[in-house]
Amino acid sequence: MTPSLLLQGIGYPVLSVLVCLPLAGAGLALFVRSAPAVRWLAVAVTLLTLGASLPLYSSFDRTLPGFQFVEHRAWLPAAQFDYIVGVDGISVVLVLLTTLLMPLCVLCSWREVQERVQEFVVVLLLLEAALIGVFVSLNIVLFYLFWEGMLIPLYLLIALWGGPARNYASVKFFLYTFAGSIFLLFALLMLYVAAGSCSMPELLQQPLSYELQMLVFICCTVAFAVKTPLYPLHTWLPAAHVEAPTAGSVILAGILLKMGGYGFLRFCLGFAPAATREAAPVMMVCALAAILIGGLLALGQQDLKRLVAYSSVAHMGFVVLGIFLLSSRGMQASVLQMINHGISTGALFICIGMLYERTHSRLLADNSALGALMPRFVTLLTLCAFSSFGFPGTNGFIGEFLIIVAAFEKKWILGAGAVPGVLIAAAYMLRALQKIIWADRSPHHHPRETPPRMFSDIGLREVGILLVLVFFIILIGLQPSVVLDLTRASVESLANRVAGAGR
Amino acid sequence: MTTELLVSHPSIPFVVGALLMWFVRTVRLRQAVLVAVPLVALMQLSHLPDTAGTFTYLGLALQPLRVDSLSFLFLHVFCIMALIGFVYSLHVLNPGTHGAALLYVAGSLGVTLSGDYVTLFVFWELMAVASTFLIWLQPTRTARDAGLRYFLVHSAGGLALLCGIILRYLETGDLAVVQVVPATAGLADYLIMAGFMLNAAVPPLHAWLADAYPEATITGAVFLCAFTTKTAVYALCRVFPGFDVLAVWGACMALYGVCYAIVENNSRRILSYHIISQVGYMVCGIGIGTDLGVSGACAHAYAHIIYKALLFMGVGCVLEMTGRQKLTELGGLYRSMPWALVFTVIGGISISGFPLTSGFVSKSMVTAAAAEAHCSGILLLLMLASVGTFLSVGIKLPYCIWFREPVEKAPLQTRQAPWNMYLAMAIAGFFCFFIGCSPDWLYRLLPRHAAYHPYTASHVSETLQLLGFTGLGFYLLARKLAPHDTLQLDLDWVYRRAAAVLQHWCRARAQQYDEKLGELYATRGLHHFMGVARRCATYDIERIDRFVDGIAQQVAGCGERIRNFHNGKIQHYIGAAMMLLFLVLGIIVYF
Amino acid sequence: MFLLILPELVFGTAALFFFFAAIGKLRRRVLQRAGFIAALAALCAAAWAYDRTGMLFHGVYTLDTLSQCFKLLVCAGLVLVMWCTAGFRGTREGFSAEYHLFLCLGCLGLCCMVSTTELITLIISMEVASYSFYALVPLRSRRAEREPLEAGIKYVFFGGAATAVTLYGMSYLFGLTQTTSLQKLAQSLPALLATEPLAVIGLVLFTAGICYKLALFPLHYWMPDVFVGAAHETACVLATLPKAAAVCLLLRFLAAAGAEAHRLVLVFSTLAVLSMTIGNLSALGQQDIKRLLAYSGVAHAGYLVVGMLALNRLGISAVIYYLSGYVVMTAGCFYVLYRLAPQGENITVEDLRGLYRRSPLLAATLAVAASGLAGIPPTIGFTGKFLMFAGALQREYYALVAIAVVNICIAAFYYLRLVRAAYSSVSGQVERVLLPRHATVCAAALIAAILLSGMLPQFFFEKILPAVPTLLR
Repeated sequence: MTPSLLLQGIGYPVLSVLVCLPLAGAGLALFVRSAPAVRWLAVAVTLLTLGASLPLYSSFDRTLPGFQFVEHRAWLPAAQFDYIVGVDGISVVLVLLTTLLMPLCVLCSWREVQERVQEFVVVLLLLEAALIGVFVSLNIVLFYLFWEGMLIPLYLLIALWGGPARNYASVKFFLYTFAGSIFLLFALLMLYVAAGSCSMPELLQQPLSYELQMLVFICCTVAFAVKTPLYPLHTWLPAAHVEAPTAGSVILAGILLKMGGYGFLRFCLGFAPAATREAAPVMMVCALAAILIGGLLALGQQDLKRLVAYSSVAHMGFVVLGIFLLSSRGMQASVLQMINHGISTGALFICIGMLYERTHSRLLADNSALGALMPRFVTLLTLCAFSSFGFPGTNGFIGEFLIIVAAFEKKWILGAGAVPGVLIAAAYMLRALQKIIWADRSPHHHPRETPPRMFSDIGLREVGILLVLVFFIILIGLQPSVVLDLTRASVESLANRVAGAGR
Repeated sequence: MTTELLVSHPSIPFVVGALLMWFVRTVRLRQAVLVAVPLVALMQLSHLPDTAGTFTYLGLALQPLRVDSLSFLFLHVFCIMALIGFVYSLHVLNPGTHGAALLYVAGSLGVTLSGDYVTLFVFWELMAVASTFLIWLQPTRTARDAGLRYFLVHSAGGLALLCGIILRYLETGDLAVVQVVPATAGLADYLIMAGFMLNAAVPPLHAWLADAYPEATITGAVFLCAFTTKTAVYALCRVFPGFDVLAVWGACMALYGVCYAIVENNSRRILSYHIISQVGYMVCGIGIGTDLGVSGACAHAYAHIIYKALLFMGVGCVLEMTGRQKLTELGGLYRSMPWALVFTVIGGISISGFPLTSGFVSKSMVTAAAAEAHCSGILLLLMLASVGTFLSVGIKLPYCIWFREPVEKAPLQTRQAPWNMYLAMAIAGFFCFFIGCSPDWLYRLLPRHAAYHPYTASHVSETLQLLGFTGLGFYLLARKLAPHDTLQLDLDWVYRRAAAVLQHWCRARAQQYDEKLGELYATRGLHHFMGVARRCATYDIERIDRFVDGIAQQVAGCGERIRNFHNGKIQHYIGAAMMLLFLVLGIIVYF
Repeated sequence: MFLLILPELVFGTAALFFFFAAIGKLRRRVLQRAGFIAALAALCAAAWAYDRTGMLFHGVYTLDTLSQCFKLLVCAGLVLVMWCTAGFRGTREGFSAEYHLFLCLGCLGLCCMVSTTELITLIISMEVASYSFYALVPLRSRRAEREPLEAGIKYVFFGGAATAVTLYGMSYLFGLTQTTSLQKLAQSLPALLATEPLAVIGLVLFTAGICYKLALFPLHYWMPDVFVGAAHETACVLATLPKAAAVCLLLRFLAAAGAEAHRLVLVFSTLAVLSMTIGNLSALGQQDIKRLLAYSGVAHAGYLVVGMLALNRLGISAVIYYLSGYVVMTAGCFYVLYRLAPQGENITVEDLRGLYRRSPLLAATLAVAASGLAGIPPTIGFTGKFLMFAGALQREYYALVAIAVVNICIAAFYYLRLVRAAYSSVSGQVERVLLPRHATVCAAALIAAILLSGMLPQFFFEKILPAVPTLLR
């Protein structure tokens, strides 16, 4: 490709740098022995990556629907593989989300992870590289390479630093997602063989036959539905979440699940538009099931992490619903909702991690009546919970509101089906919140004294972590255009592509 | 626009105050803030911009600051009520209560000011959540369950509202909160109306009110009784005046609430049922839709907020001191808490519409409107309701709490209530009489000009007769209630029959129905909901998860079986190898 | 002229040297050094002879790029194996000279195999290789146990049976075509295969010997037991080198038969499917790691056949590429085993527990090699599989590829078991595994090779592609 396209926008190949920085950091961490030093190294690297990713936001051209910051180099000419990276409006926000969450992951496990700190940092940085890689790669093989390359680090993250049942959870996570990705591999093979090329821009140019599209769509859908996760392929998620360390949960819920939604947008809608239009109703039904059943599941939980895990199932159900409404409004809302879910659920998991460090239990019953003990904590927790169930004024509200509007536009029954999900979400979140803040006392009016418990309220580091996320919760809640402007052009072109596709 | 909004929107001081509640640690400072906030808001009211400024957000034209006479009336009473309420709750130390209350008031002010549905919805939800916290701050399990139910019902209503808003937006493409003509009302409008009616506790959507308010904290209840329903009344008044369905419904509602109030034992639940009944008057007035009706509804809302708050404050005072709110557990307090008695009685006579009290000048407007519109059935219902009102609140409540000898002789330990409670009640009581004595001050605030003069001889005498006979009726009932009473009065059998029938009807029919409804709502609803949730969870683990793991185990077992072919015997190996090779060849080549 | 067969010559002279060394009394270290030097020399020779082609012995012995390429692969594999298992602690004391003698002879045989294009010579060279490898198996230091001998016996008998079948099949071919030269066969076979079922049977039976070396179902039964019985070093050799040569031969025959021979393709794809499935399923429950690797070898034979059946530019080059990757990855696994077993005892999955704390490097090597075999990016295992399957899809073998892909998923489980065991935490103090410097370097080289070759395949493809056209006339 022309050098003008390469190094476009800013003076250096920003995307490659974003992928390579964490890798380099991981390599460097191999040689740092002392735990504090390696922690600080991790902070430095992740912050550096965040800094390097800021130009994406500043100098991203909001008017262009296509890929930007494209880099194109020969990789395996023998098989027409090329190293192509680039971002469009959909992926750029996800990249930014990743680079934003990773430093927080490092910080929130500052006290939690005490042994094997060096390996922890290495794994974390590898993960970051892989995550960014997934979102920026425009070559399907490169995409798959990062997609799968994430498995082993995340597997290790759960298996080494996880909870008591980590073996079961980690193996389940690995096999489940690996089985899903195998379908993706098959789909990629078909695309590659059919189009004779691996580069997404070229694939977007070539129309595929309807049968092939359907095949590709089904395979991709299985893979992404596992990752998203879409009911009923979700059972790996609670297990993995409950056992994973806080950073693991944050990455899982905050970023990894987004890969599913991203995959739907990029592959199903992008490469198999006609098939997508055929199959959209099925997907919407699944999404509604995820919304409602996921919510009910969350309502039934006693373990906080399980609760939030199931709530992610419900929220991602909203995302999938928005995507397969196939309207520009719905997709845009979905992308926004992915960001919201990343931020608010990440924040919730961080909060739960903080609780766990103090009470050493994730059960609701053991974490009640903390309002008086930890006012700062419960305040921030309340904000995050509200954004999670879409309270007006927070980011969650905008996303769900827009999705529901789009659903009503498509068919009022869809909107009516999605609306109870919001209600259930409010129910489980407030139920948990009420138990955490106040205890149940015996029903006479003069409150009994609870035995005093020895916690400190959250400290400066923890407040800082949460404040960052709360800031974005409020910011997006009040000014969603910071995200929507980035995504608009790309999403609209994608919506037109789908609308224009026929059998 | 934004700066003007920040300066002049009355919700802003309340939100700021709520934030301060979280951060200010010294009690005195918090109390100062509490008093200052409503005063600031009142000052803002006098400088509200009368032009509705709009600005676009997400491509929607929003109008968070629309002021006209209707909204001004409600803003005015809300601010005064906030002042009274905060004075009443000055002695409470938990900043959470104050924070929630402040946000709650902010929400209702925002709803009142919002000129478009999105803003309205946002503040609507804020109200729902803040009021839920007001209930939850009472640290009992019953309060927690009640609060959860309360919130679920309200978010359900909010979602009905949201659906209505979205549908309306998709149909008409504008979000302005404007009056709807009954002829052109569609699904969207009725969804919105349902959302409003739920907050107005219109039966059968009323169960949450009598369920939750008695569980709320003492000061919380004072706020709750004032804002949620009246905000809904405002919204109905703004959008749905002249819907006949509302008129009929409201009249029934007025009587409905009273019936349960009469037979109820829990003092705060009595008052809650009276909210339903009084709101019934307003809904009825709105439904009638004439100038007089709408102005009557507004005036009644104004008066009602204050005297109902006064009643809740009086009962709350008793609850605060004795920790009891059941009439059967109370009694004979006139010595220890005379002032509470006085103020409660003031509230009682105002609610039952004695002349010279606020109830008289406001309630009668609605009845007059009904008469003017020749709805005799409605008129009758309203009359009956006012009888019952006086019966239960005007007489029974004070009698049972203050005068009747306590059922168990153990003397209730009573301290003096803190001064601020009495001060708050005094302010409220003053307003009751002030409005009652100079109604024109209130009428001048009304949105629609309606020429109405309450103090006509006929009206006064009619009211007095009604009340007087009701009073006599109570003696009879008192005899029925307390047989050891030695009063021997030979009374006309009509009233006896009437009262007896009323009593009988309430007990036999209606009460059991309402109990059913309440039970359905209280236990069935939540428990079954949670039950479904738990079943889902088990299904998820038992079925789906097992299924997935089962597949993996099947594959592994398969491997075991195949592995066992390898028994280590070379002759078997060679035999098997050759056999299989030829088998494959044979099959493929010859078939 | 004869320099074209320089690798063979090097191996021959080395064999001669070790023959005499076996008579004399040389110290073990010296012999091992000599062996390693010989292997290096052979590697250099192969590299030198890489792009030199020609015909020898009246067209019996073809030296085309394909054969040279595979020779290079064999020599490189030998060097790698010798490096990984430097010290040969598991082999019997005092038989080093013989061990190296047979090793060199075997490699000589393999080198001949890949370059003969005449059936008789082919069988002779195959037997040379086989017999020298038969002799390797019993030479294990653990004399007390009877597995080594038993394994040797099984290996011999099974090999003998396979050879018999091969000869039987060859008689068919000769009867049908009256020629033993591959070039002439290649002209007449496609027509025959289309019409004459006997030709299919003959060809398949003839390839039995090759499938035996490749351990393709159903001729894979020997593999697990022989691996368990043989020393780690020997097992490593058997797992890698003969497979390479066998792949080359199978490629030659399939190419000669042509891709239009549907029956033949059907037979081989059936064999491939069965081999993958049964290999993977039986590997699931294994405890002994050598058994597990044996079965994974069976499964990989299936994958390779899938690639070969494509018979197009992409498929063949991918097969060679993946094969080289397979050699490296398997060598990596055996390297870990060898380093973990100072007395050459067999290692079970349980023994791997806590390996991470005993030696992070070994654990990392195992993890990388295992995930490579499982086909997880960015290893060569993934890139190779991807390209092979892409080649097969170009021929529209959808079902075949689908089954293969599902098999990859099943296989992931037992490779994951290795990694999990290696990284599972153990309580208490563990004794660290001390690695000599050259072993550390070897581990680093293995990891780098597996990852880099996976990420930057272009270099290899430049080398491999010239070898492909010799098959696709």
